[in-house]
Amino acid sequence: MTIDPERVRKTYEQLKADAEAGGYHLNPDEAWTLGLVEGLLINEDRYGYWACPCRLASGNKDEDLDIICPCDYRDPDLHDWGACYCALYVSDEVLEGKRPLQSVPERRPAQCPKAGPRPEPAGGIRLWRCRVCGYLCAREHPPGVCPVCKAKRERFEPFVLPPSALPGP
Amino acid sequence: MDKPTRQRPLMYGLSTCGWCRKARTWLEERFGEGGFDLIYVDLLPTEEKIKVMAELRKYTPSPAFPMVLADNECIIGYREDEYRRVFGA
Ligand code: SF4
Repeated sequence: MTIDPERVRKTYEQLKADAEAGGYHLNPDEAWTLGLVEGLLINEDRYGYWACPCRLASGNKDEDLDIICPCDYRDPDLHDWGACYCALYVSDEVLEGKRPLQSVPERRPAQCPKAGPRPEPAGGIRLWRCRVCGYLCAREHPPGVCPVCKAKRERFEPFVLPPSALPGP
Repeated sequence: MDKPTRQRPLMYGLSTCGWCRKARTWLEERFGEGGFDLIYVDLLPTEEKIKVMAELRKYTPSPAFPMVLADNECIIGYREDEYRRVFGA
């Protein structure tokens, strides 16, 4: 399956602008990055969502939620390896040539723990946490799209700030 | 874990993955296009996919792509150093 190059290019430009706006960087190797964007679009047509191009998706969105691009593992991999697992995103150090780009070991657990609401501690302030980038917000409902990393609403999880974390009176 | 036994190298990959593309190119340069076998797991029908993943779990508890099988060897991820060690440059 191949995707119309025009669609790949447009998506690439949009993704690049979004990445830069959020403080992220796409891999500057354009041929590489365009190849991955095409992979994302193939997966969009195939599964209905942006399953990670370098991982085998189940096709069941609930099971694949953690590997919808940008995946839950991007930020820790950027920190530890200078790139996400697919090397679609790279760190500042890699971008500036201060660190070589190398292949990244898989950090997704083989047996994926079922994503779902975690037990909530009692009391404290209820927040929403973006599982992709850690963005926190104190609204009644999570935003439709994360303002930092553009992850969709379903990637937010409840997060309770314990009373002990709050400044005293 | 079992060890693969095979004459021809066999690569399992994903058709959408950049590292798999690199691995394929490496193997093509080393063995020629017909010199190894290649299976894109994401393109298989669901039943086949399940069978293949069960097969791969014989060699590793956590299969990832590209995965190259050769005689007594199972190389996971794009690893040029490993390819050179196993196949010679
Ligand atoms: S951010 Fe995650 S899902 Fe997206 S390309 Fe990189 S590894 Fe794959």
